[in-house]
Amino acid sequence: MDIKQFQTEIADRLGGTQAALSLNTAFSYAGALLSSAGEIRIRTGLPLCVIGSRRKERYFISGSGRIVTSGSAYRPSKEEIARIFACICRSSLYAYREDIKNGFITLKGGHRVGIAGKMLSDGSVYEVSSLNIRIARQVRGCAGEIVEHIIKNSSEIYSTLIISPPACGKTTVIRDIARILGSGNRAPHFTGANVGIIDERSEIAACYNGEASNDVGLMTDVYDACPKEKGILMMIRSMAPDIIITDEIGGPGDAAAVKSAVNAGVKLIATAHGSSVSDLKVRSEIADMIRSGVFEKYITLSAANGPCTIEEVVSGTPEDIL
Amino acid sequence: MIGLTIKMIGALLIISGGAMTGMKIKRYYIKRREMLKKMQDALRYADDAISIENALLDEVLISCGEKFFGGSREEDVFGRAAAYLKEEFGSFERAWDRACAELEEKCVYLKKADIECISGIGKALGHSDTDRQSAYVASAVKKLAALEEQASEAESREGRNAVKIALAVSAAVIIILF
Repeated sequence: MDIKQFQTEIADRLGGTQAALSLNTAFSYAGALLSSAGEIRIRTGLPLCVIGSRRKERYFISGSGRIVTSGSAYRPSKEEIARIFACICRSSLYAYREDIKNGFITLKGGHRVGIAGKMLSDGSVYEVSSLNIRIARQVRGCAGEIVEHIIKNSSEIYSTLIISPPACGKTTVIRDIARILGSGNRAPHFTGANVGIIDERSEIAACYNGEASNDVGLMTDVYDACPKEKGILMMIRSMAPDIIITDEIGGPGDAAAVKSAVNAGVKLIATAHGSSVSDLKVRSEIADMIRSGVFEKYITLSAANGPCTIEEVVSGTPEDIL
Repeated sequence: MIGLTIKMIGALLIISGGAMTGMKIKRYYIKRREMLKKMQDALRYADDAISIENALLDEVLISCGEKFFGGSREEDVFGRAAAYLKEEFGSFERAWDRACAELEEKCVYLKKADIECISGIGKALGHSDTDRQSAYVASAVKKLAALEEQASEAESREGRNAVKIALAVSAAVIIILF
C-alpha cells in the first residue's frame, strides 16, 4: 500500500482529526512504516500506535507525525475518537448497525476497523473508546508452497484445514489459495475449478459495495458477510462449487454445514485458530468434523520465519489424527 | 387633453405599483407556507430513506435537497448540510447547525420559530437507533405542520389584506394627486 492508497482508503475515513493528520505525516515521511504496518491502534487517552505486520513491532506516533517513545506519543481524546467513529460510519450509524454489533466495520480495500467501548444489551458498541484498523494486503504467491500440499492432481484437491494462531497469515493464505485454485496453476498443474468463498467477515474477498476488492480467482463466487453455516448450504444449492473456501470455522452449526458440503462431493478449504492439530481436539465442532473425516490434510502455520511459515502437514485417518 | 392623459397614465402606474407591492407581501406569506410544507415532506422522505432503505446520511441529504428544493441556493438546507458534513468530519449536528444558520441569513421567508424547529433535527439524524430517530422526525414534522397551519392562516388573513391595503393606499394617493 502506498500513501495515496492509504489516503484514499483509510485517512479519508478518519476525517481531518489530529490522529489522522499525524498518521498521514508519519506515513508520508516513512514509506517503510506504511508498507510494514499491520494495524493502527487508536485508543482514548492512550498513545497512537502503529503495529508492524511481521514481527509485531510497536511504533508510537507523535502529534507532528514522528516516531517517538510512548510517553511523547499523541493521545486522542474521547471526542476525537467519537468523531473518527462517526466519520468511519459516514455519520450514518444506523447503516452500520449490524457491523457495529459484530464489532467491526470493513472499509474499501478490505481494511477492517475493530471497535471497542461500552457494550449495549443488543451487542452493539456505544461510546467507542478504541479503534483497531487492520490493514489488509493481498500477498500474491504467498500460498505457493501450501498449494503444493493441497493439489492432488490436475483436477482434484485435498480438503484441507489450515491451523494457526492469530496474525500468522491464515486469511492472506486462503485468499491466495482461492486465487490460485479459481484461476488454475502451472506447477503443480491444476486446471482451475469453480470456487465458492463464504466470506463471513468480508476479509477474504474484501467486498465493498458488493464488489470484491481482492483478486480471488477467475472462477470464484463470493457470499459476502454471510454466516458460514448458512452460506455453505446456499453455495451448494445455488452456485454448484467444486471447492468451498471459508475462514475460521468451529462455530455452532459449522460442522453440520461442512458435512453437507463434503457429502455433496464438494472439497473444502477452511482455517481454524490453534497452534497444532492437537489443539483442535478440545473444540467440539472441529473435533466432530475430524471424526467425520471431512478433512484429508491439516496444515499448521506459524510466524516463525515471517507470516505463512509451514510448521506441520498432517494427513491420515480420523483415528490417527485424534 | 395631454394633461388628462398624463394623469391617467400616472394613476395606472400608481395602481399597478400598489397592486404589485400587495402581491409581493402576499407572496411572502405563500412562500413561508410552501417552505414549511416542503420541509415536512423532505423530513418524511429522509426518515423513510434512513429507516427503510438504510441509505447513508450524506446521500439522503443530497437527494432531499434535489427532490424538494431543486438545489435552490437560498432554500436548500439539506444540500448545504451535506456539503458541510465533510468539513465537519462526520458531525451531523454541527453541519446541520451551520446549514440552518445560513438558511436563517439567506431565506427571508422563514421566521425564527420555523428555523428553531428545523435546526432541532440536527440532534436526531444519523444515530443507530432508527426508532428514536423516527420519533424525533415525527415530532418535528408535527411542529412544522402546526407552523404551516399558522402560516396558512396568516396567508389568507394578512396576505389578502396586504393586497387590499396596497390598492386602497394607491387609490388614496391618486385622489390626492388629482
